[in-house]
Amino acid sequence: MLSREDVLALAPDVSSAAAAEMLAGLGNWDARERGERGAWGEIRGSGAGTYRVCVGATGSPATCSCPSRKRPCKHALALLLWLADEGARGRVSQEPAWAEEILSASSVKVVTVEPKPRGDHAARARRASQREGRVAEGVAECRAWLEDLMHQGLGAARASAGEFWERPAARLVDAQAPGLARQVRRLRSAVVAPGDWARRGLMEAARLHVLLAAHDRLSALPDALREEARARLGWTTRRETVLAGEGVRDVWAVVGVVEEIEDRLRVRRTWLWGCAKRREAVILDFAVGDREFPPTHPIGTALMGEVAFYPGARPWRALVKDVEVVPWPHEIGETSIDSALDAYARALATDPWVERVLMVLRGVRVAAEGDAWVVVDAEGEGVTLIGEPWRAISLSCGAGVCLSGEYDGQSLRPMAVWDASSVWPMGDE
Amino acid sequence: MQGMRDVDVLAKAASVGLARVDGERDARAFLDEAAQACAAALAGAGTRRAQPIEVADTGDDSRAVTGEEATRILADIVALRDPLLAEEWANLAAARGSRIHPAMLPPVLDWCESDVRVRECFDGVLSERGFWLARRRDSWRQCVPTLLAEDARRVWGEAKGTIRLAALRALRRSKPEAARELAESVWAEASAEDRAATLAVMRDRLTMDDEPWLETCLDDRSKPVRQQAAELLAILPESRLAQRMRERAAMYLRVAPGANERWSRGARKDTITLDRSSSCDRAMRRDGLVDSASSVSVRHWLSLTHVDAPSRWRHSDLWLALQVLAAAPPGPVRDGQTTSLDPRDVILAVMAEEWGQDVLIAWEASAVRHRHEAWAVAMIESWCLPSATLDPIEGLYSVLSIEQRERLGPEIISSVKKGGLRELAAAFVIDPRSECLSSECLNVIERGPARRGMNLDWLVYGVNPALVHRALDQVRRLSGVVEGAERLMRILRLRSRMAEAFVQPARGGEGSP
Repeated sequence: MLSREDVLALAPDVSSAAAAEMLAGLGNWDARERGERGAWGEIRGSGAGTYRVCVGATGSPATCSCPSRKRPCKHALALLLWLADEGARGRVSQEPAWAEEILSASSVKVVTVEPKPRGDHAARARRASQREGRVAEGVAECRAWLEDLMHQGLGAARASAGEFWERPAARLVDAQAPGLARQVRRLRSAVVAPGDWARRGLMEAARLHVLLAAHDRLSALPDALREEARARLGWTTRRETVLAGEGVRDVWAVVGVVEEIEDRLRVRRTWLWGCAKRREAVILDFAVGDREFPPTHPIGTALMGEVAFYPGARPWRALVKDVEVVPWPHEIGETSIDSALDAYARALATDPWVERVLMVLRGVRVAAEGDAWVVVDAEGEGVTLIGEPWRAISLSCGAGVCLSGEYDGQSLRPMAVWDASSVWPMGDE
Repeated sequence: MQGMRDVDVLAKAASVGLARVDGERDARAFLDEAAQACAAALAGAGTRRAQPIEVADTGDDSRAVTGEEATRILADIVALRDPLLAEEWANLAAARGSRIHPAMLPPVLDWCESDVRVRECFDGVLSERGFWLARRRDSWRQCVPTLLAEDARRVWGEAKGTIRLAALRALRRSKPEAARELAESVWAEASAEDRAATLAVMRDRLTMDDEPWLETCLDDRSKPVRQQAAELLAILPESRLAQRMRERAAMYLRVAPGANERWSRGARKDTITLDRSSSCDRAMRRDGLVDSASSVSVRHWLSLTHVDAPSRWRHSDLWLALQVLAAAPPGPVRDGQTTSLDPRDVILAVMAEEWGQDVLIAWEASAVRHRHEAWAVAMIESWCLPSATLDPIEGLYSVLSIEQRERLGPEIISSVKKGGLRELAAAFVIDPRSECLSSECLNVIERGPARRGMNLDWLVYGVNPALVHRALDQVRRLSGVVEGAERLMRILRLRSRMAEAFVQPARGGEGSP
């Protein structure tokens, strides 16, 4: 059930929200009724005609026959506002045929954006080769900087001012290699952090080194690894290209949603677990400053259908292509933590730059070792947990439970826990 | 590769800098080696072995978990951190014999840890699983009154002031005898402040079994302790102190013989006489009476009933008489028992006298202290209350049964309407959620003008859930002048959802987790 605030948050811009509030009054509507699954009505447009509006109780679908290209349009928003205010009161009516058709289409489709016109072929080729030249220069500079850093030592760098790291990062952005800039910033974060900074700094430096080496051997690399290296360096693939490719069919369970701040950007990872094929997919979303993320599927949803992967060494980053919501599948995930760690090792072998993999475990129990919390399987083998897993303990009473988390090579960051009846997020309680 | 070095060795070299390490010239070769070593370390990291925590046997908890919608509402309330909504949710759940969903126990316990105000209300719906969970973490264990009560003796020995008292309070609720025994056993070492606070806790579940001990407390060294003991004994009608007070009341206030007949003829004057003697002997002082009326003593005796004693009492020779009348049950006393004269008649007769106002104030306090419904009804109905503010009404109203409240509530509100919104709010506080009171208040607000800086919090938290849509309309109408209208509407919607969610019969199958 949406509240007023939720509805206003769906508005594509401020003017739509304001117009919706004005249109919510009864006077503008010729007919307006509420049903089990949503609401429908007819509203007088600014011209002579009326528009047919139909919305689902959760905010989707939100359709209207008006010519506006904004979705949801101000008429749909107005109807949703009325629905939010009505709450559970008032008459519940039978859906007319046209509304029933719209509300029955429960599939969640991806909105395809019109591709921008690309200009002529020659210009594109010229820009591409210019970029390759700039990146090559950036890589060479970065290598020199890295080797110098190794000679001076990470300890000395630890005490350096921010400029020491920002200047090479900015130059890499100028060189159109933002992926390398990101890796330089990761190296900085590892080195200035407290604790095990030398070891983590070495790992990030090694990762940067491998990326630079990959650039120099780009053409000689096998296809999949070359695609991965290009993506890590900063070359992007367009959404339409990914969506146009062939997808993987499965029942995809949304097992985790994690938000983080990275440099000046907010990143959100939505993790999907393919139940039959037992593989992971992650949807990456970015937001700048205070902007909201686009809506995503919440934890506890299961989507049956196609998911399309970005090109790379191993399939991980993906987009939802064409799915419908199905009931949550029970008994998914690995029972052996040893095999889960094997899967991580295999991922590392395929993609040297992998940062974290998804683990979905079932029948595991929580253990406490001094200050640390561990999750163990039936054999007593376990992996360290980040944070305190109280929700899992409470739900399971100490017995076996299913949970999902992000594994980074050292510890598991739990994202969700579930039992036979409900799915709950972890890490934010 | 021969002899690939360990990651930690390489990390050491990297941290000091290759320039300072003998034999390291080539940064690229070093980084190549590092890349392989790091990958091997990550891929080769094995599992760790650990012993899982024991499976809890939380027993056959027959109570059903609250339904899906109710659980969702609880999650919203926890996110808002609103203690009043928490209390309402917990009361609704407890009334239906439900318990909190296990997945919501950690956030609720975290909230109890950070906010003292919600500890009592959630205690009743945590259930065995909640207690099991709380026992696993020290910071949570101290926030659950039931767990404190289990271990009250140890807590009293180890913990500080407020937690000790919380433990004692919880113990008193479940095992009143044990609480008294604990209090008696630690009496000797306790400070005066602790002793007075401990006695205050004994007010809950007070019975005649406590009387002997309380009578000895009348001889305590510390004045607040003696006052507290006298206060408690006055409530127990069979206590020796209460008997002494009744005897004194009989001496101070006398009804003339044949008064009934004179009242039926309408003649009231001189049917009741008040003795003004103001000598306070040792027995009276022991029972907590004071002869000189300082502002402190006046405040103390009437503090529990919210009645504001008029300042003229400080210089009055009636002070002693009024104390006695406030301590004894209301109404004239004869032969050691309060008479069965009709309170209405007595009130009218007393009002006819010049000291009438003062005696009625004392009897207000007495009616509340002794929870005397007949007198409370008579006083409210007569509307002869000398203290013309609404404060005493709250005390008297709390004594009434539900039927009487339904009957008298609207009358009170309608006579208050003239005062304005603040008085209305005060009247509403008497019994929020009563449907007729809510309706009356909404009528007044609907007809009234919008004024800058209006405060509607009292209405939003207290309005009967069946009338939420009217309240929503009003908040929307007044959103220009009321602060935080969005927040108020959110609270109203939550309360409406809550009422609906708990009306549905609990489905037994959800009891499993």
